[in-house]
Amino acid sequence: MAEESLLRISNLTKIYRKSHLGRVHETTGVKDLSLEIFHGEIFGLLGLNGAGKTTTLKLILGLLFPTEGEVRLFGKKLPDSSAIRQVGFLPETPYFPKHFTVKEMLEFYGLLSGVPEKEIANKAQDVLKTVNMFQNQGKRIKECSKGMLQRLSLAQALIHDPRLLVLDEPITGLDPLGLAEMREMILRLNREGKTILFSSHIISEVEKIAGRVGILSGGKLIRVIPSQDWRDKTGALENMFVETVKSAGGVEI
Amino acid sequence: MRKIFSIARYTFIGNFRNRIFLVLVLFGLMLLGASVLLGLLSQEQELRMLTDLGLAAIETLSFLTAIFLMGNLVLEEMESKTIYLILTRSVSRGEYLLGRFLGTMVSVLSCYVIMTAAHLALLLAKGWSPEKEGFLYFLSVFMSFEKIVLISALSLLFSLFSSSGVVSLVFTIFFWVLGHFSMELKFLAGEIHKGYLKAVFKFVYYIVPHFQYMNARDLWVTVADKMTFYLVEGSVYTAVYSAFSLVLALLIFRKKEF
Repeated sequence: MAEESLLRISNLTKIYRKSHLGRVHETTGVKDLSLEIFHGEIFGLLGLNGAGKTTTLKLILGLLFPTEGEVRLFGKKLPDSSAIRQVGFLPETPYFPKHFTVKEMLEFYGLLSGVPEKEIANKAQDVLKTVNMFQNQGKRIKECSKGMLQRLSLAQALIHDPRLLVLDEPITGLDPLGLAEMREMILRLNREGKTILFSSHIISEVEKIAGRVGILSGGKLIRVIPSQDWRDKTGALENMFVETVKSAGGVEI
Repeated sequence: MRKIFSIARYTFIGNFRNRIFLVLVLFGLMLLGASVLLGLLSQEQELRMLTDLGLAAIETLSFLTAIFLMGNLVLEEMESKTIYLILTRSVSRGEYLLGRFLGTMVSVLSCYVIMTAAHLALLLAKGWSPEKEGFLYFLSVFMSFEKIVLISALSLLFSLFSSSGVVSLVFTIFFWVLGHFSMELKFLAGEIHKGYLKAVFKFVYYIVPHFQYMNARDLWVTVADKMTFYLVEGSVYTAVYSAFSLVLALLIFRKKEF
């Protein structure tokens, strides 16, 4: 039986245009990117800073509009609100308004994601327990530590029980303990049936989590590597990454 | 509808927990207090002075509150990136914008009601008779709030096509001032004979909001008997102008990338 495609990106191009004093300056964010993510997999987008990882994720989430190409989520061409309802997004840095409590924030995001009002309180408590934030639910955002915000950020992505999780640099900036916790969490969510798409430039972590990796360089998807190619081979993914990026001209070493 | 309500509620709570908002309300109450002192100077016309100054203070403070809140409404969320976690859900851009607008309007209305209540208490303490002028007073209060609604919608529109809060603030204040002189603009357009200058004045006259439709406070004494007509005219004008501004704001917002 063929694998179920959750996300299909076809010939996606994003060109940023900025005009200043009548002169238009163009920068390519992503160029001719095609990719398919299947149900139940963990896919890692690997690339150097500025390779186009965040641009790709933003195009999937509708924060940016493609210059060319299309994104199909659960078979529906984006933008489509019923498709986006099944997506949970974890941004690189936790962004929350500081005047609210953890519980208020989570309930707000839940309601916006279509969680019924009578279920929202229980749902928020369950998710807070999952991310070990239950005891901090009454805390104001401005009183939360960085670690707490990171956990709340994950909680808001899970509040509506999405089928696809899009995680932008979920392991960047975490201490070793937080890193292990996040890795465990991603693997557990995947075991529970969630498909995960994440971006990172930390190869040592990506190889522990991902089932497939896509290497981005200069806005282009250069290579897709399945985990069989690097599992049980020390440093294999790093070597493949360096080799691929160098041959694409994306780095000078 | 539920999403619009949730966003409006979130905006309202956020505003109320923001110290700047509370400072503005406090400042408004202080200004009302100051009008008592000015009222004393006018001796026989103390009540008239107190009424006019109080209403003017309420309107000015509400105007400032509205434009500060509205001018930063979306820009602040864009800068802090808190908008990411809202727009990456099944929330349309229209629901977001309308929810934010309504939440801010409820915040401004709350501030307006608090100041009006304080003003009324002040007037009653000074022996003002609600039987005589009550209807006209509340009509003035209502129509003055219509001006605030209209300028808020315009302020939101300006904030979306400029990337700086200050620029949108300047534009809004400019339109607020011009809007109070729209009849003078019309008069000038009629007096000028040079083609292009006449066209410029006419154009400005047509695009600026015509606040004279809502200036019940100024018309109180002269045309008290036509107030119902002014109420309908002002309300329709506010609704149409505000809706048009919001539609334009939405068209711009739908194209925005984050």
